[in-house]
Amino acid sequence: MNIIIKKFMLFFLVILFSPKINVFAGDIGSIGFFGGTSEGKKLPKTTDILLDTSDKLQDISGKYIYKELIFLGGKPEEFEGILTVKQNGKVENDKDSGSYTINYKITSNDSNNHDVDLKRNITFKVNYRKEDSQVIKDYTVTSWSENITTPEGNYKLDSSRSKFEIGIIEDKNAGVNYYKGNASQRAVYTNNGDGAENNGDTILEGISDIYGYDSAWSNTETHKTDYYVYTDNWQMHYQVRPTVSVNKNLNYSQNEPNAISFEGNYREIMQNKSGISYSIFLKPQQFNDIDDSGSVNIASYNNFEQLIAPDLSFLKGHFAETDIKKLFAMKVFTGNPIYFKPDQIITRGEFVTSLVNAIKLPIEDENKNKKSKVRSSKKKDPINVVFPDVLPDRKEYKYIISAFNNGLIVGRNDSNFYIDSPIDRQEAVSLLVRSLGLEHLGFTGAATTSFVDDKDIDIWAKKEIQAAYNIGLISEDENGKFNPKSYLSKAEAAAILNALISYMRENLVVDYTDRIINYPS
Amino acid sequence: MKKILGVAVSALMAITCVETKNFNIYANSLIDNKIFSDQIKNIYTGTNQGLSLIKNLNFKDMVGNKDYEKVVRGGSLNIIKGYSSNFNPNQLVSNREALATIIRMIGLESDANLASSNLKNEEKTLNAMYKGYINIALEQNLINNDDYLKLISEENKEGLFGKSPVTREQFAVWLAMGLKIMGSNDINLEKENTDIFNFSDWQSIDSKFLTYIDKIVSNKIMLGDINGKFNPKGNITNIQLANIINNVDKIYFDLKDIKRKTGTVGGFKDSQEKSIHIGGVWRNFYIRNSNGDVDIIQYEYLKNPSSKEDISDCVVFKGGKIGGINTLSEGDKIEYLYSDKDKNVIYINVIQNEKSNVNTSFEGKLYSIDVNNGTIVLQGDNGKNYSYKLVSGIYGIDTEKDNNKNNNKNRDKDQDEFDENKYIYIDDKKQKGINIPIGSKVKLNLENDIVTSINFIGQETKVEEMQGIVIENNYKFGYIVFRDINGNKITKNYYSNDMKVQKQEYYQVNEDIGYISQMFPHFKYNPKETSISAIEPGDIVFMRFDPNDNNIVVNISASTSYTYKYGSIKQISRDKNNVMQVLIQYDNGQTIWFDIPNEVFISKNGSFIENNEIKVGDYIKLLINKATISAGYVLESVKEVVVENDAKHISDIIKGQVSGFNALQNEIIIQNAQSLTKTGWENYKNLKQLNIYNKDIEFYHNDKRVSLDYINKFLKRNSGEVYIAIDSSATGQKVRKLTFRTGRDELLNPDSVISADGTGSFMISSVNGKIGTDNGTIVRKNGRLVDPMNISISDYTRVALNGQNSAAVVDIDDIPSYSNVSIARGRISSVNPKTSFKVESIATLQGEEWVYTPVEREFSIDYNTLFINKDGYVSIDKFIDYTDESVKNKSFNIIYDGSKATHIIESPYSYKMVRGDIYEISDNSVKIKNAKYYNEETAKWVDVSIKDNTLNILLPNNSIIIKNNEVKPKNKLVNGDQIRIMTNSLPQKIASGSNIDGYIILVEK
Repeated sequence: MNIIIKKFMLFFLVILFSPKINVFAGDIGSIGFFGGTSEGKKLPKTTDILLDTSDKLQDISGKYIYKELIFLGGKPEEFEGILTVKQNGKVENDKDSGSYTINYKITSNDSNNHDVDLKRNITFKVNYRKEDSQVIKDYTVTSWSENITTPEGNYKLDSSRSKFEIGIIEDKNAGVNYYKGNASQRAVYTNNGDGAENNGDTILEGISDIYGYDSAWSNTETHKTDYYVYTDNWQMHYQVRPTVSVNKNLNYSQNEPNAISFEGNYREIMQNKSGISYSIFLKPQQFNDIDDSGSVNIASYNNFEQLIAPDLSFLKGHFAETDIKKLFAMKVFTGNPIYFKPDQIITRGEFVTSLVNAIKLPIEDENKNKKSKVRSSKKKDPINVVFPDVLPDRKEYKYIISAFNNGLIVGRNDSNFYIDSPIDRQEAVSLLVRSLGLEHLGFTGAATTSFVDDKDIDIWAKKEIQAAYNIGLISEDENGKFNPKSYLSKAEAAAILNALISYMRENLVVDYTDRIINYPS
Repeated sequence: MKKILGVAVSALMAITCVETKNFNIYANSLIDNKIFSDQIKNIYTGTNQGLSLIKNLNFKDMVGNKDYEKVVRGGSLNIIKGYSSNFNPNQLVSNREALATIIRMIGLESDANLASSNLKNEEKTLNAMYKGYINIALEQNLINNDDYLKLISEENKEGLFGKSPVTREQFAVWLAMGLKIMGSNDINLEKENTDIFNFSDWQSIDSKFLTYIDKIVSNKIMLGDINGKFNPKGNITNIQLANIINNVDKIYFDLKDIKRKTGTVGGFKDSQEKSIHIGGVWRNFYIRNSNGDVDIIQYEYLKNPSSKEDISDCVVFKGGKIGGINTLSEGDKIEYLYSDKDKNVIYINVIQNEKSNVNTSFEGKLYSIDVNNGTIVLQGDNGKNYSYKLVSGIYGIDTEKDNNKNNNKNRDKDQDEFDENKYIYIDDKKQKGINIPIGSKVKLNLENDIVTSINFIGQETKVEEMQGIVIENNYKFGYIVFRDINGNKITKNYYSNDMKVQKQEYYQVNEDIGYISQMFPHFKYNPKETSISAIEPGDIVFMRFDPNDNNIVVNISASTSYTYKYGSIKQISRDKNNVMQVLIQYDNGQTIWFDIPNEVFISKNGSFIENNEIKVGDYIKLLINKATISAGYVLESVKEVVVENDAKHISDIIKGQVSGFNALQNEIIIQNAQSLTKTGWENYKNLKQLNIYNKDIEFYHNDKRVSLDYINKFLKRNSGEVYIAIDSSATGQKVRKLTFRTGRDELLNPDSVISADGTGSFMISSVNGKIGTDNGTIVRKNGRLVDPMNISISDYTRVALNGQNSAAVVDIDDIPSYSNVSIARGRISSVNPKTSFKVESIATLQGEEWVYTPVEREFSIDYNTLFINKDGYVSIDKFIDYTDESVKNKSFNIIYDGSKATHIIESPYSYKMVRGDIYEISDNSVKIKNAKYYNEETAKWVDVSIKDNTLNILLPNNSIIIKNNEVKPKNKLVNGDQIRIMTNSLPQKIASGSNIDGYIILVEK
């Protein structure tokens, strides 16, 4: 009597490359497109992310404190109010094109100076299309009404003669999504007399450059808009540069009581900074006593959250104590800290896992495909295998798959990943640059970096190493070398991961705020 | 084999209720890299007979025999049998053995066994077995009754029947009949006999056999000997029988639905299962077959709790020996026979067991790709098409998108969709649909004639080009040194006059002309055209050479490769050629000197500025050309400078004590806070919050640099003074520098520096001895935070001392003055509207007097000239000398610069003067104290009153305020300004707080 057992058939599928949208990809335009700024949407807390679905986090709907400078009367008048954004729909992950609407409503609040009032209600229809990792969005106005009151006059928008058009391109990378756009508008206001010198139309033409990015550690959006005001009697040219940036920072707090089970912990502080900087390039004669430049800002109130306090007391006094503590607190390093020996070499699998945690790349939930019965099924559920030495039984599996899907890693020459081999410095630094998407800041043409040991750097890594140098993530050692092939210890990995996170927290913000708004042009 | 058993047995010793699966991978160095990741086409398992077949086919006497394989092959098909452990290759095949072979071939062995077991009164002997075969042969009409009796009768004679050797012709006939019974179409008895006549001895063939034998011969099953004879009456040895059966392969396989494939063993994986009912061990061998697909040949070992084993194995012939599936190893090239219906593997023959692969490559134009069959067709240079099979992992069809579209299986209807979803990997990148470069030259990398990867070559190059980065360009001597794309340093020559050079400057972002201008002569303006001298180190170049001498460059297309760097200016100096040099400090603290040649374009706030308007403490953006001469040696030069606006200027200096910190809001709270103003420390507040989130922030304790935590710990609410410099960016004010001092504050009056040694210590007239500074001193010069070494002679400073002759704050600004502003008054004689006007006589304000000259003067005016009367601004268009608005013969105050009038103000003649210090400012007036009026008779300044020495100065629309050598609006007056007011009339008795109209206000200090 033969017991016939059904056979198993395993299906291996190679995953087709499909860029996943970073869970923090907020939409642009949280400050509107009108030369004003809002307090911005704060970055979510860790708990928010766990409880919430990623859908809501991508929506910029909400109420924000809003400020705008109105120049229609010649003198800049500051307006403070509330910006209400309602977004119906968003860019869908599985569709190549589509559309949704977004509505901006601006009204005053009580703290406003009652001489200046602004009521604006504008709805855009956003059509988007996707090409590889880029998304193109076109905004067209479907309805627009405005009423402005200033000491210099009252202005009502004539929407039949007014135009507004915005076009945005977004480029998605593993760790940061960048976007850039332009807006062009022509607003015609009819004058309701009363204190205004002219009773004809006031025409406001504006052309904006829009820049911004989203990442796990900071979001910034900055506009640079040139406005031209045309009235019968005078004309004016000014530039406003509104900006909003939200970011997260770490702050350590030492515990006071003696009898407490942990020495202290890190807090993450979420802050936002908004302001408008303006310059008047040409002012009419009668306004010659107004300042040529100035700024207004919105005061911010910071949110904060506690981070975990794993026991790292064995590291006290170590060179990299702070770096490692921070990374454990931010859950970039996970697992029992006792097994974290900082001077040991870090493997490729471990580094990629930590990097994926550091940039908060979304990880596929493979809990759906678990546990098929032994005898009943002829087929097993498909397992995604990209590298033969990275199978689902490894804990790094889902991180490596996620990194592969987002274009961060490609494996070595044959298609193994070498998950337990040490990672060398050139590979690690290249990964950092790729996660920022800033490889092109290296160079093309001839393959020479500015390091003394340039010939030791592999050809494929040179561009990324030079880019890392140019943005300040790395520099030469005392001998001018980079040492591309030497291995990375866990402490060194902690240091460069922290450098990457700092770059995303602060340097990116500076590049998009100070370095744009302080350079009127 | 035994090892697996051992493992399996020990594994099954501990049977638990838990289902477990383990995957062990043994392929450490794969030859075929995709063997595990490609999709598996088929799994063939061994059969239950495998094990017994292996045992039975292990013939001792065949080892080393070149035909052993054929025997094993025939044996695994269950056709050929031996005699326990021997095969006796040279023994003649008897009739009964021949019949038995045929019966087995037909597949009726089990029938024969049944027949033999049903024989009455017979023991189960060998005879009985053969008798069963013969009975079946009769049934199947292989033999007729006569033959049957004859065969049986033989037995009775010697106890054995059918033992006489079979003749060749007889065997051929039985073979043909057997195949016919199986349904073969190859044995077509209707067909004319042709091939048999090729044998010279055909006539000795029994005539009734002719047709059958002809078919056997024409199907090349039996071949005759080298002499061209068929030898119909000859006998067949066992080994020859095996050969003949071998020749029946093709026909036999078709009839039995057996298929044959070849392939290479890529690797193997084990799996095992344990459950309460059964335990199993599988070893899966992954085979890359000649179609490019992956098949699995599986060995299975099952055991149930009653220890009954169930093994599925297969005969493997390897290296002249017989074995089971587990004798296969990676790299073996095999041929395998399998039943497509049952998915059983029947026989494996290892053809070659070296780990060598034949690697070749082939280049050609990509003609087409068939993803259904996995083939690629290339067109060679000779125009012929070559077809290759593709490894299954590098091609396929994207089915991802089908979820959204109709899942229509009709290929024709969705041909377009199908075409656009098929993909192939080229250069390791997936190319889909129309992106597949049909028509371009590609290189196929072949392993054993199967394509494992494809590289894109493209079309043949038309022009020779080199790309690189310039290291040196010497256009006087005509050579250029560059580093090419592989890092080699190369030198080429050129003739400067004959060169065509195009360079894309960094600001030239648009291009309308295009490459067409290179192909055909053109004459339009092309901003990219330039001369060879414009090429500099660091440029990226593409070069083309003289076709006759490729050391001569004739054409260069270049682009600049600049980067932006940001930093603050720490020092400025000039070298002996008066070229400006700046010391820049980057964000990371590193400092570097840069030359800024005079031709470098400098701008601020969107417009051009001279280079002497750059000041220490400014933040600038530099456009740098970086030329990597060699590894580690980089030349940097400045191409453009943009100066940041005033956002980082110090807007406020505050003193007080540290009250606390709010780490969560990034704020420091200062108690008893006061701001530095013209009148001293003013604007007292009990508590003031300041934001400390600033990457440039510095904290000092006296001269020692400390951290925020230090201040929080040791200096909170301490009784010293903390001095804070604040900058106001667009996003709000933030602290830039904070210094804690332990002494008592002493604020000095503003004074000029009379000596400074460049290290930070200086002297002013009101203090004896040198005043020292340190790293903690807050030095603000023209609004910018600078190092103390930048305090220089004749700087007009306000110093706050803290401690003996030690400065905590040094605030340097321009000396208040109005002497550069020219003020005059004249009577208009004529006006040329918007162009100029003449005054018949003029009085200029010099010092405190109007100096009158009866000379006509002409001033030019333009759209910038401000025309103001008592109502305020009037358009310059109204400054005319006709109609009732005529200004002829009216007197105006005129502010002028050279011969151009900048302001024309209609106001009364102001010759009376008062002066005082502003202490309160309102919208349209200021109040002054220490007020004096000028008594013309005594030519002295007289206090207004002894008790309340104040006046209220009104500022009408047509008042002019001069401060810091410029006309300023009213809101620029601050408390503490010492002003001199010129007015038209003073009351007879000037009382305290009187209102005086101020038409000309001069800020003196």
